[in-house]
Amino acid sequence: MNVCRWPWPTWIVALVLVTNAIALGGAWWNRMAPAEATLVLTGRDVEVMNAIRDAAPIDASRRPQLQLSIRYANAQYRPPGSPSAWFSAAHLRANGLEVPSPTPSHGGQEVWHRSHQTLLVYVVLEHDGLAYQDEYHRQCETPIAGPTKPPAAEGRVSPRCEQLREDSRLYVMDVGANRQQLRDQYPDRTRYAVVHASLRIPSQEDEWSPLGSVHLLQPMIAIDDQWRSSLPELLRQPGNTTHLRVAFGRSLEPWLIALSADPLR
Amino acid sequence: MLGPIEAQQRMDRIRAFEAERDALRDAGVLSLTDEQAASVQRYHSGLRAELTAVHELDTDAAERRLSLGLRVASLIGALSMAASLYLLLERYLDELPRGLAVSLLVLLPIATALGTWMLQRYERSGYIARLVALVSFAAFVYDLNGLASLYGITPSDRALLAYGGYATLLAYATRSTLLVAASVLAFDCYIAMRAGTLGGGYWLYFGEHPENFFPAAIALLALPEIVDVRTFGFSNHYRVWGIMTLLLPILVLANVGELSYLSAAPHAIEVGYQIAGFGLSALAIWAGARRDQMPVVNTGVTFFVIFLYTKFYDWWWATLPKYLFFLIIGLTAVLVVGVLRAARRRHTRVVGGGL
Repeated sequence: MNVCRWPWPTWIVALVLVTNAIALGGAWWNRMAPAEATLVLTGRDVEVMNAIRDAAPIDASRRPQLQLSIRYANAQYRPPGSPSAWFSAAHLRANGLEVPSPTPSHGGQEVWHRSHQTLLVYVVLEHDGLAYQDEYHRQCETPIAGPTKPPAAEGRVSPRCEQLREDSRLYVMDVGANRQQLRDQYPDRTRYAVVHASLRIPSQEDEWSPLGSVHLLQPMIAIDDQWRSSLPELLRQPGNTTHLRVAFGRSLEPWLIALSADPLR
Repeated sequence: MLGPIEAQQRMDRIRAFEAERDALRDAGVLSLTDEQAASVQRYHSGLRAELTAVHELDTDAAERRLSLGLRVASLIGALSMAASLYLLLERYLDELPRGLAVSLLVLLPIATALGTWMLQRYERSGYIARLVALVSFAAFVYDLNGLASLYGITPSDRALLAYGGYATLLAYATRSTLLVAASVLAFDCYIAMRAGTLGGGYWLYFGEHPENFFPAAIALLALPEIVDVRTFGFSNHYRVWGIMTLLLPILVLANVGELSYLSAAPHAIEVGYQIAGFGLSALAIWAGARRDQMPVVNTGVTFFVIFLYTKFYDWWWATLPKYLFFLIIGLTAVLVVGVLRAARRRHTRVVGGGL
């Protein structure tokens, strides 16, 4: 049997079937139990997007897509048990990342000269936890006892504090090269998700972003058919009170597993 | 069996032979006997019938002009239909039940590829088949993107390998230069992305260091030297794409040294790449002229002129009056024309001496 003599569509069909099998097999593998982490988010922790961004209404898909909305922990924030700030050269190196030596001082923040380096990393996403409390404390200047407790301060609050009450509570608060090492440090799978990301080491020119930038490799939450019909109505509820249970699978890709107007348990 | 390009070249040679034979006969230089003329006529008639039975060929200048219009129209049609299919799927796929959406994604590229195959059997010109082939390629690209969107699959550079393979298969099946370009771009980007990850970086940022494209350029330039080009074809396309993949990054680095992997001062890096740009453009012109590869010569000349004008701009745009600046540009163009004419005369003497 001389395979070279097969008509060319045979090769096309084989290529399509193999690549689709790999893609679908990967999706199936990601969703095999147990999930790597399961977070209960609210509407404020996700961004609602259409399939074609910035498209005219007639071209835009009527089905919304959801994207994780992330914030960064403050540059000086120290993860539990760490002697240095989470985005310092010392901490990044301790977590197995090979980063160049930073310029010693630049307004109190480490910077790298001409780095333009982007690394493939794992980041820890914390939902409604210590990083959010730390930020809340800084912005509202009022310590709070619990992660979801409303501010104790009476009277007027600063606009930034007001904004913080509506912003996402999903914080990037640690970065590393080793997935298992990060999971060992953050074992609570209902509050911490470890996900793939790219990390751009900031350079002196990036004064607008002294923390560099973290891009999640898969920020979109896959939505199965069963949630598609109820999602648009729930997302229209005032106050972003819709609750979403989002699982992160073996490949660290997120998908929606529950959706409700009431708190999920 | 000749391919469509080779068949058209043979047809053109027959037409040129007949015109020259008539001119020689009218000038009294050459006169074939009736028997010889009839024999040649019989052979060419048979050959013409054989070639036109398989391919749709241009038999005169008017048909050639019409063919050019057909090619332009089919190119616009192919690009528009591919864009239309892509946007149609983007608009409605999300609203279909999951099983139907996945089936559609898998079956569309297969169905359009089979459609291309069927069209090739009934349409000798190949215009419609090439058009449907490009739509098939767009369907395959959307297939993998659509699955990634439906299941939240992390983007991977390996998809480019699949795109490159698919475009290559269709390009050789339909002799489509547009799909050759798609194939080259997909493999170019994949190799550059892999090169970018060697330093520990993330593949999506491969464009931040133009040097990542150098391995792809070397591979492209080596390809027509390694494989049997007469069997596979498109050799000059690979050479031109190879030169562009090599010289475009050099052009960027010659102006923005900070993007280099090299740890030297940015200005020193820029000067180094400027010298390399001039040298490699000149090398392309020389090699193309020596091997009679005109597309290679033209690409080399284009880059040489761009490197030259970029330097002129750096040196004189801010310091010379504009009329003088453009006068220098014009005089340089005249100088280039003179050099190329001298090279052509030398080439003609060499070819003439060899005959």
